[in-house]
Amino acid sequence: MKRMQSAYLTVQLTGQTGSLERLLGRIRRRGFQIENMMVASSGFLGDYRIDMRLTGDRSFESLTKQLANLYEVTSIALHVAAESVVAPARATA
Amino acid sequence: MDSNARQGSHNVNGAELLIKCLEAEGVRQVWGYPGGAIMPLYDALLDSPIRHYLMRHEQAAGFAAQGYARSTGEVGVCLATSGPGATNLVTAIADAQMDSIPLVAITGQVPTSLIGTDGFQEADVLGLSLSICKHSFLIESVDEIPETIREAFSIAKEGRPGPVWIDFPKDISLMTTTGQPMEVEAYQEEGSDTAEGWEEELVRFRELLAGAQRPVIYAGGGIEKGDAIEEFRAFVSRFQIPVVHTLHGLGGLPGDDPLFLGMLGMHGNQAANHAVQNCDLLIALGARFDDRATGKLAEFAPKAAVIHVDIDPAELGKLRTPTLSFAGDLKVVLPRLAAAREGVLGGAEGGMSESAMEAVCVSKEVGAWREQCQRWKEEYRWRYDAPTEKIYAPEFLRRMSERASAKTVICCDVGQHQMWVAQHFGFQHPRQHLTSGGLGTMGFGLPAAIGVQCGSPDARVIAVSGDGSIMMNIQELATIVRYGLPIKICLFNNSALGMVRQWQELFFNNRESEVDLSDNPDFTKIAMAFGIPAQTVSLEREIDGAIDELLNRDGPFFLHVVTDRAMNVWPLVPPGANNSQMLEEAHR
Repeated sequence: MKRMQSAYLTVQLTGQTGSLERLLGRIRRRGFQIENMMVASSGFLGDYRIDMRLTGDRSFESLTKQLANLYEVTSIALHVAAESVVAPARATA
Repeated sequence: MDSNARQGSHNVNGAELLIKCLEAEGVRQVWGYPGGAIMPLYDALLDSPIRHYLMRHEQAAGFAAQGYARSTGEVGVCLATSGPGATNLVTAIADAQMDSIPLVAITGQVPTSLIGTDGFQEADVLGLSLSICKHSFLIESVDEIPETIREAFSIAKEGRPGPVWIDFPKDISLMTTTGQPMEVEAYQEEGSDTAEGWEEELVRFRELLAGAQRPVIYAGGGIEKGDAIEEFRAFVSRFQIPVVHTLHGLGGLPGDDPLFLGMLGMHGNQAANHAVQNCDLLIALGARFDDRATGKLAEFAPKAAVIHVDIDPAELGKLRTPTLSFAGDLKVVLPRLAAAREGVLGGAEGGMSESAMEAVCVSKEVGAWREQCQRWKEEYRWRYDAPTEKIYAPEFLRRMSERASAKTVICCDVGQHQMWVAQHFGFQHPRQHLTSGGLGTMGFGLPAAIGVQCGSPDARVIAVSGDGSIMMNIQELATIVRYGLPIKICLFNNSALGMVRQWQELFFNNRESEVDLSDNPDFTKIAMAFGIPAQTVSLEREIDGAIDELLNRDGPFFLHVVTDRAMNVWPLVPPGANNSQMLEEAHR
């Protein structure tokens, strides 16, 4: 059994072609699930502000740094949620 | 083709502008393969001083560009057309991403009106690129070209290097423009702005170092990527701490340096693994705690505090939580870590005094530790008592290493021969050793050697391959001949996919499944059919003459070395075990 945790991320993203896909793809590949997400124009043409709630059993701090490495991410803020749930372990390679 | 573009007015087309942008970035050589959607770019190349090398497969173009980039430290550039040209590039780009190689890949794309219509030779290149490169662009207007190229080169080499992929629709490449290349500003080393700060961390570093009795440095490819070899060697020399290298760190300390214990990890040597497993301070420099290096992660260096220095903040704490970390350029960080004599860090504020720093080098405990490491090194030194009169590949490589000069560059493929090269070739510099580490791509070696030789005409380039790997890109023998490249190919042929066969023997009850290559073609005939002189050797007494040919012969040469099918790579950390649990060959 691994301990699943949840966290809130707020990401500012420049609106290049494919930038949203790239962000979501990296979240998936690093082993996190998106529970809910809100995407809004951030006031600049094509730029986004994304608020999302994630769950996962890996380090959210590591994920935050991995997302911050994306060229289109201009800022990112992490808020780890207080509550946590216990779920079956994910199969590992 | 726009007629104005050909008549020397200010107007050019998008393809011509893109080529001018490459020229402005200092690009002199590119590797590629033409096709429908990239024809305007190939037309523009005819009027450019950039030299294009026609490869015989797009994947090989990607690896040749990598070979150039890995051996020179410059950005490598490769070209391919849309659809299959682009998909053939995928492996080489993913490989560059895993090994942090600065690459700019440019692919033609179908015209914008056809994107999304399943047009002829259309593939969703941007979609394919998302998870396998550092960044990617789809050019959507001719005006974007100068900025996109400037950004691509900047992204490829700044911070942790990596590949950038640019997808270039054909209609945009034919549009007329008055655009000009952007001026290339002087490249600002990332991390140079971090020369200030870190005072608390530096005090902590000195405390950890002064308190350590069994320190080890674990250095990876980052020391070469960061152009920090000189700083690394000065750091090691100052503190006299034993060093283990990863596959890509090899050559950071010269192979014959007394403080160098060897490569760590699955096929490392026992001395290196014992040192890491027993150390109380592990200083990780430009290394990423890869599973082939760490073995069972939870039991890796179990007694050690970890100091981790890496230019990529995302590597710090990814797999092992460090006691202390520095996110920065090794070229900047290492001199600061070694800077006790400058008096910046010590003094009454709680930092260690210079004498305490010096004590690290001379303390009784660390001295005893160095002696212990030397005993392990002696106890587990490589043995070359070949069991037969046939050629034992490690012995061959040891002898070649002894006679190679600093101008020798080894481009290795993937498999048993790759591990034997890592174990038995004493590199003097990491740029002498090119291999696909992270992705582990068979077929890397031969095209990478082409890129190295193009970029460094004076280098003695040797592609070391196996009978599995060579067949993955053997068509590039034609490229070697076409451009008269004096590349030497050293093929170890054991008539099997040796590494897989070895694992089947050891971990799958010796049940061989699809590893037999006893029906290999006659490799010397293949080489000669391409126009490359070739020779086969199979006996121990033929080794020295064969090495003479590899090291001294002019022009290309193909050496076919027949080896024993049953040979395994030893020692070996079994899957799931920790690095203290290495298996040795049974007769030892």
